[in-house]
Parts: sequence; C-alpha cells; structure tokens
Amino acid sequence: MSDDTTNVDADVLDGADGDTARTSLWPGDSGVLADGSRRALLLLLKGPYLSGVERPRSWAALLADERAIRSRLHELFLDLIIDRDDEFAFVRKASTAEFEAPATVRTVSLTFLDTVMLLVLRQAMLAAHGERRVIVGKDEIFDQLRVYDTAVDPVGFEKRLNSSWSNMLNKLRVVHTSGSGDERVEISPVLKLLVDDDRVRALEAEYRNIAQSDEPDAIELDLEWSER
Amino acid sequence: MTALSDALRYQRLVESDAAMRMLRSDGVAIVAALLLTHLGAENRRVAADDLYEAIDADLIELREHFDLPRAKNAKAYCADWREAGLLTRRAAVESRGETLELSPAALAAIRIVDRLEAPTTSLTESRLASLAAQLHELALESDPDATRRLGALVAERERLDAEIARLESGGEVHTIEPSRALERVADILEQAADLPTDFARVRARFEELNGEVRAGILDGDDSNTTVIDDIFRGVNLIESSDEGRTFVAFTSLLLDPERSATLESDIRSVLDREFAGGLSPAERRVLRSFLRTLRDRSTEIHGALTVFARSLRRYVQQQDYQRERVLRRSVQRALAAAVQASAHTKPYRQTAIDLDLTALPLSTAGELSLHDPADFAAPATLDTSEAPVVDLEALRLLARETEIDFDELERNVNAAVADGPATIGELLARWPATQGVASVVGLVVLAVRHGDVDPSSLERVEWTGIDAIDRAAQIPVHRFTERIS
Repeated sequence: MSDDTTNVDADVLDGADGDTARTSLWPGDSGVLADGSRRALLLLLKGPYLSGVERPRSWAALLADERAIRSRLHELFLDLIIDRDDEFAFVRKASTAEFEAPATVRTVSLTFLDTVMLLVLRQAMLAAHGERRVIVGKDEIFDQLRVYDTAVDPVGFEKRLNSSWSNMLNKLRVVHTSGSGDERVEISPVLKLLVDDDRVRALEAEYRNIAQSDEPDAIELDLEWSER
Repeated sequence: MTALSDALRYQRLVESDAAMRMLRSDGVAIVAALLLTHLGAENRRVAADDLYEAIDADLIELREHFDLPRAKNAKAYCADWREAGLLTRRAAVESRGETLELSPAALAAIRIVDRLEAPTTSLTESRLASLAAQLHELALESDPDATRRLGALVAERERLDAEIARLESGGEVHTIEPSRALERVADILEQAADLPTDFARVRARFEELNGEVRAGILDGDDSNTTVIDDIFRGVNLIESSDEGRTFVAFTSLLLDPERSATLESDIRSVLDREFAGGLSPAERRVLRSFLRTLRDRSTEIHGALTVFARSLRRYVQQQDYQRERVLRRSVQRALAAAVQASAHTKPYRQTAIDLDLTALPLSTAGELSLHDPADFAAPATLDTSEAPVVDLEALRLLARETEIDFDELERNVNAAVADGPATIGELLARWPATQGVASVVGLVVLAVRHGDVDPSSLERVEWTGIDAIDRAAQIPVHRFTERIS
C-alpha cells in the first residue's frame, strides 16, 4: 500500500520535472492522467455510460488506466462499475456505509408509472435473449402499460405515458434514440445493473404497500394540493 | 374429403403466409418494385434511415403514376411491411440505429413475381437430363445390393473406356450445341437465383433456434439439465441441429480449397466458351461473382452462428440464466402487484423508490460569458434609396461573368460536328474561348456528358484569360461526335 503511494508520488514528480510531455497537455496543466484516460473519465462523468463498442479508444484507455481513473472518481465520492462482457462502464454514488458522503449524482424520485415503465423495459431486455443491443418501439412499451390505466380518462393516461417516456429518455437516460426518431429506442445496458433483483423486490414491496393503503380520499386530496 | 382438407390447409397458408399476403395485396406492384430496387441484388442490408430516404425519393415519382395515400411516408410503409413480415429488422453492428433487409417470405414472393414476368420453360432438355442424372445417382447410391452397384459402376467404366478409346484413335470431339449450352446455363442460373432465399431462411432459422434454446434454458427447471450440460461441454446446439449440420456441410464444401478452385476454374472456362457470348451482362456477372457471393453470405451466417454459440456458453457458464430466471419471476410478480396497486394510486404519484442517475450535471461559472450590450445596440436608421433603372445589356454581361454560357458552347459544338467529329482543342482553335477558362470548363462538362473521352491520349488546349493573358493546358482528348440537342 505504501509502495503504491510512493509510486504515485514519483509519477507526479516525474511529470513536474522532465517528462512533461507524458501527462501535461497544455502549459500549466498539472493533471497526471494521459490524454485518453482523461477523455474516458470525462465521458464517465457526463454519462449515462461509456460504451466500449461506440468508443473503443476511450474504452481501451479506461481498462488500461482503470486504477487511476477509479481513484479520481473516488475523490468525487463516486464508484466505477465496469461490465467487461458487455463492454460498458458507468459511475454510481459510492456506497460508504456509516461515512456520510455528499451526493455527487442526483437522485430522482420516481412516479408510479415511471417505476412500471422501468420494469417493462427491463422485461424487454430479458426477452431479447442476450442480443447485444436491445431496440424497442414506444408503442410496444405503451401497449404493455395500458393495463395500469384505472382512470376513466384515456387521454390523460396517454399524457402520463408520454411524460414518463420523456423521463426515461432525458432525465434517467436509460433509453436513447436509435437514429430513426424517438419512436424506437435502444435500451441502455446500464438498466441491467440499475434494475437488479433487489430493486425489483423493493418495487414489489412498494406496490403491496400502495395496494394496502386504501385511502382513496386522502390520495385525491393530496393530489389536488400537489397539482396546484 | 381430401379436397376439403387440402382447401382448409391452403386457406390457412393463404391467410398466414407473408409471401402470399404480399402477392394478394393491391399494392403488390409497388411493394415488389420498391423492395427489389432497394433491398434486392447486392445491397441486401440497409440502414433504416438510408432506406427511408431512398424510398421517400421514389415515392415522389411513384405518386405521379399511382394513386398512393399522400400522407404516408417511407417510414410508415416500412413499418407496415415489417408488420406484414416482409422486412427483417436488426440492430446495426457498428453504428447506432437499425438495419432492414428482406425476409425469406419477401424474397420468395419477389421470386414468384420475377418468374411470372420472365417464365423459364421448365420442360427443357437440360432439366430432364439433370433430373435423370440425379435420379440415376440416387438410385445407385441408395442401392444396398453390392452386385447391382458393382454392375452399374462397371457399366459406367466401360462407357468411359469406350469414349477414351474413341478419342485416342483420333475420333472427333463432340461438343454440346450452343443453344443447348445456353439453355443449361439458364437452368443453372435459375437454381442459383433461389440461393438468397435459402440463405435468408437459414439465418432466420438459426435466430429462431437461438431464441428457442435460450427460452428453453430460461423456462426450464433444474431437473431438465441436458441442454445446459450440453452447452457446458461445449456442444454447439445450433450447429448440431439438422439445419445446422446441413449448413456446416455446405460451408465446408464451399471452403474446401480444392473443390472451390475447381468450381472457380469451371466457371471461368464456361465464360470463355464461344456460346457464352449469348449470355446477358447480368447473367455473366452472376456467374462470375457466384462463388464470392456464396462465400460472403455463408461466412456471415457462420459468424452469426459463432456469436450465438459463444454467448450461449457464457450465459450458461456464468450462471446468468439462473439470475435471469429469478429476475424474470421477480419482474412478473412485481408487475402483477403493480396492477393491484394501480387501483389505489395515480400514475403520476411519487413512490418511495429513488433512482440514482449515472451522469453528473456539469456546469461552472466559467462557461458563462459576459453580456456585451454593444452586440445588441440598435443600428442607425436605414435610408431608403430609389432603385435605379436597370440596363438589360449590363445584366446580361453580369450573368456572363458568373455563369458559363452553355448556349454559345453548344452552338459551336453543333456547328463543328456538322463537319465531322471535333476535339475540344479543335473547337477552341475555331472559336476562341470568350469567357476564358470558364469556356474550357464548359466544353469539358459538355464533352463528359455528350462526347467520348479518351484518357490515354492528351491534347493541348489554349485560351486567353479574362485578364488578357494567354494560357494553355494538357487535357485528355475529349471528342464530340454528334449534335447536342
């Protein structure tokens, strides 16, 4: 461990002394990562994930320089998740147990329809039988969600569907357009790890809670208040 | 009774088969033409966006002659065709987006249309001869009786010996008549035309098998472990299926260096024969690229097979399937619970579930730039000025300065070719370039469009620039031979 530290120090000193060409990219640059590794780091931070297929060079840099990049991310209270088989990597809030870390990435609370849509998307990934890229149509997903429309207002439900859809696209970024407009999207491989068995079980528990909290009046009141 | 059962069977086919549906539809002419133009022949797999663009361009022209719904664009048509099972969609390998290609059904339907348009007389002598030969061979190879087989082989040898003896004693070489040779080529090409359909069908079948194997693993319980054991032991389930074995035998024959060299040289000799002059350029091309097409397509399918096998093995070895089994059940349970919950909540109500984003919102004060009021200062008031009266002659001169005067050049060319063919150099000698280099460029453009170019010889062309300086250049000889209308 102490060896590691000295090595890093030596590297930094090297950079400052003579071998500036290796890490210093512009006058006054004090960064210690190589050009490719910095690009990989930036791609990871900008999210939603770094794809080895789409960006082979940054992917190679990430694998070669994994330790240093992971350490840079730790300094931001972030953790690096790498899926070597499917060739993608992304950042996640570091799990810090008792230690309280500031939140670097935003946490988004999900609406009921958002959660169901995530499940349906995850199911579509399972049904794709190991295809590397899973592309689905908006219609297919919407059709599966219509069972959850209990209101008497189909137009309103369609609006909700669309707003959840744009959440998936723009806010959560778990799907992205595949080139032919928003109607067909590629499901981000990250969803595989974001919606794992634990999370699905948590969702199921939440649904059971909702089903038991049979206070329709209170809910209505609550809604009217929140919509105003 | 048999008629009824046949009728019922055919009715099911007519209703369910995508090729039949395509042939029965009103727009079959347009569908077949568009699909054949953009997905037939060599460009078999096209990026969805490129296909939409190409078809949209065609639709504009088609609308002038056919009564097509105005609002419907290529994307909507392709969606319909995909729905009807005529197009197959695949995620592109290298890029984002998807590709489209013809499904086996569409290929079959287009073949039928083609065959109706250019009927091949199936009662040819060559067809009968090859049928007879194949039957004879089959009878021979499936005969369990050694004596009879031996007898047939001896008879064959005697026939060959007699032929050898005849030729050795200076007998005349009998070659097949050109017309019958052409007939045989047509017959071979007819069979070759079925190959794309076969390839598409094989690939579709392999994909289906892959899905079936995976679904079997995912659905099965642990008591049914043979499939999983097989994959564990490295058995390629898809390759060892009936279809897989046929295909592997096909490719190994194709990749056998000796066999494919023989095939290649045979094709070359056939093309060198005198009768081959009677073949159309398209037929010659098909023959010439026959082996390469076969290799390309089978390499591609072989690649798909390998990918399936590798990912199946990983799926089993890393126990992904067990995780997926558990997860699938969890997802189903959760979705069922959600149905119950939906009666007690609104779709837009927040749940207690959070999701961490995997991206950082990056913003810094550094990206702000100062607002400079001067950038938005109102400009001075504009004066209105009267438009002067235009001199038409001046306008004409102005136009001549900016445009090549093709009218003049075409007039000169037409005047020259009235006395026989003329090169650009000869033309310039008779009518000096009035617009300098622009006239020369104009002549070259016209020559490329209407004349002959001989890139092997050069000629010197001379002109006087607008700046009154004489210039010259070497260009390939361009020759005008006929009038430009």
